[in-house]
Amino acid sequence: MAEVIVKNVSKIYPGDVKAVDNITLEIRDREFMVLVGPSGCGKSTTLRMIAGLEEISEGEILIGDRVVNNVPPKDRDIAMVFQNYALYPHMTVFDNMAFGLKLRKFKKAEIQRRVEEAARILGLEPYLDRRPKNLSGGQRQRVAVGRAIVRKPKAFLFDEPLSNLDAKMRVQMRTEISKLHSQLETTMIYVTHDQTEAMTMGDRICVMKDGHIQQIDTPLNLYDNPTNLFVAGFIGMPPMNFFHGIVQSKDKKLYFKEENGFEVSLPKRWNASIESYIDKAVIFGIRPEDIIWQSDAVGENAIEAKVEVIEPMGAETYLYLNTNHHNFIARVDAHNPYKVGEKAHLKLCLEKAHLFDPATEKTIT
Amino acid sequence: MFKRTMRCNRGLRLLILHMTLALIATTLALPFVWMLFTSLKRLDEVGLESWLPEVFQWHNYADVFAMKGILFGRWYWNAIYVATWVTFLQVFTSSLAAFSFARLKWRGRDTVFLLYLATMMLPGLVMMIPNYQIMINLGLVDTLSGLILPCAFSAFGTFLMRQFMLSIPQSLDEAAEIDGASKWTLFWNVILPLSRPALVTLTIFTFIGNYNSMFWPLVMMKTPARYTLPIGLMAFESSRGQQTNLLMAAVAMSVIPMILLFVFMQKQLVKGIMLGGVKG
Repeated sequence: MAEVIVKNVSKIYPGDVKAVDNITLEIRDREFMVLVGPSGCGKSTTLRMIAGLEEISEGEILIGDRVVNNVPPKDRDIAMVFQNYALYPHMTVFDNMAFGLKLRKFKKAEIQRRVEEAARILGLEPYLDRRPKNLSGGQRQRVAVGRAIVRKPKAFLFDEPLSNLDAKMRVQMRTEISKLHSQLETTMIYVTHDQTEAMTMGDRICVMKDGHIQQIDTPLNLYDNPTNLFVAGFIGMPPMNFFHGIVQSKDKKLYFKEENGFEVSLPKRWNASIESYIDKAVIFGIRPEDIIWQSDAVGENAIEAKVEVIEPMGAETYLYLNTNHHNFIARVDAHNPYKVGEKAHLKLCLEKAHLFDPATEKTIT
Repeated sequence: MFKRTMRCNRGLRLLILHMTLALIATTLALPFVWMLFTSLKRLDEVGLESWLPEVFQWHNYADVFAMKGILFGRWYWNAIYVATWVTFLQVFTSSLAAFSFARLKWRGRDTVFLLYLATMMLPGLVMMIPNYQIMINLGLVDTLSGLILPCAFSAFGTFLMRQFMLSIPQSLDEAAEIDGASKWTLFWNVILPLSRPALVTLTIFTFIGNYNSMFWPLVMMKTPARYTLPIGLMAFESSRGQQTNLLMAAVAMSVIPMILLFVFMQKQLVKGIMLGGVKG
């Protein structure tokens, strides 16, 4: 168990391509940190630098109290689980898990004990004599996790470990890895492009884009208080709706006026932050669940839109709406009889809405 | 109606295909059958219209070993000894080189590989004189080691193994590296066992190629006791006139190792050739 500190680290590939640009990240002891972002954001490169599989171009990485920049992967006391499992196909499950211990010259009895213990934790006991090809995807991933557990490393690194599994198995493994984290009480660093995985598993989440860290925070804080447009749009499914418009002042009240469209009055507590934006362009962001279907919605903060597509999810329904100028999504009660083409009366809950500066993309409120 | 026509067409196509294949197989098998029957004839029956011998002369096979000036047993052993050593060395050096070209990163790697590959463009005969010169310098002319050493390395083998090794996921190297494996452990415990289909293919190709090799042993060998089978078989024609029936018996016996190789490794060979064909 150890904290992992990434200090001003960059990764520059030949041709001056910066995959990771001067990032600083502190992962606390026993923390489950998720690195999330779209493809090419540098999350896997960061993880691979922590593992020692990629050289660090600038900065330093500490595991425990030790700078590991020039320490080979095997001496960093970490274990890694790969997206494609990376199990040795010609070895049995037992041998796959024992390989690292054998190379480290552990005694036979100790290897046996550790592998059996890991197999028990992961429910792999009946499969110890099988080869990976005779296992399902979920079982293979468990073996990969088992191979990491037996070493009892200071930190576990996961590189998109659930991407190759089907949806059901992914949900199951997600909870298993979370359980494992509370059971083992070890530092875990987990890379994914799936924001649902990030939200459900991480103690904290680090959102990355184009080699830069956008925000590091707890899942709920990220969701409620995104620092910029990218984080607001990336975290949450369906994503936050964005409307371009301007801030207007009328009768000492501030309004958001969408380009040629609806107008909503903004909460008073925002006044101080948005005064400088009066008559200037802003982006208004509101999450689908903060748009409420209300047949008698009239007056301020009520808008009308046409229902274009209905997606019943069971517990809730996603409505794809159009205001003549703009498409957006609302997450509404599943049991109302919605009809495609009908006019929807909607109420916007502005308490949880956000305004963003279109130039800097930073959150204003 | 439509379905029935389809079935008929398919049946007809299969029939034509099978007949063509049978014809090709027969054409290929005929010389072999002729060889077997001739090996069981008396010498005066050889070349007659009838393929079958009047009486099967099984003792021809024993006679091959008893012929004066013909050291058949010795040559047989030499051929197997040389082919086995060459195969072992070539497979080993090719795998090592392929591992370096496919899995290790070093400056100029791909250029060196291309240069190495370019040696495949040179006909074997061009290499014969420099190779012979080197063997003279090493004092290995007219020795079995002189037959083995120049064949211990192969650009083709390296190419075949490299292409196969490239298809093994890179993440296995990384997993092994984190597990604590050295480069040698990675090669020996992970990459080599996974390259089995390519290893088998190369083993068969090398063994057969070397077992049948005639020109290099002909250049190198002077002492009859050190001949391998291909040059030894020539002695049937030169030393005591033409003893075709005994020659055929000797040839029939000499193909046994290759037939055994095919029988035992057929499946792996086909897999290996297909892998090379698809992924190479």
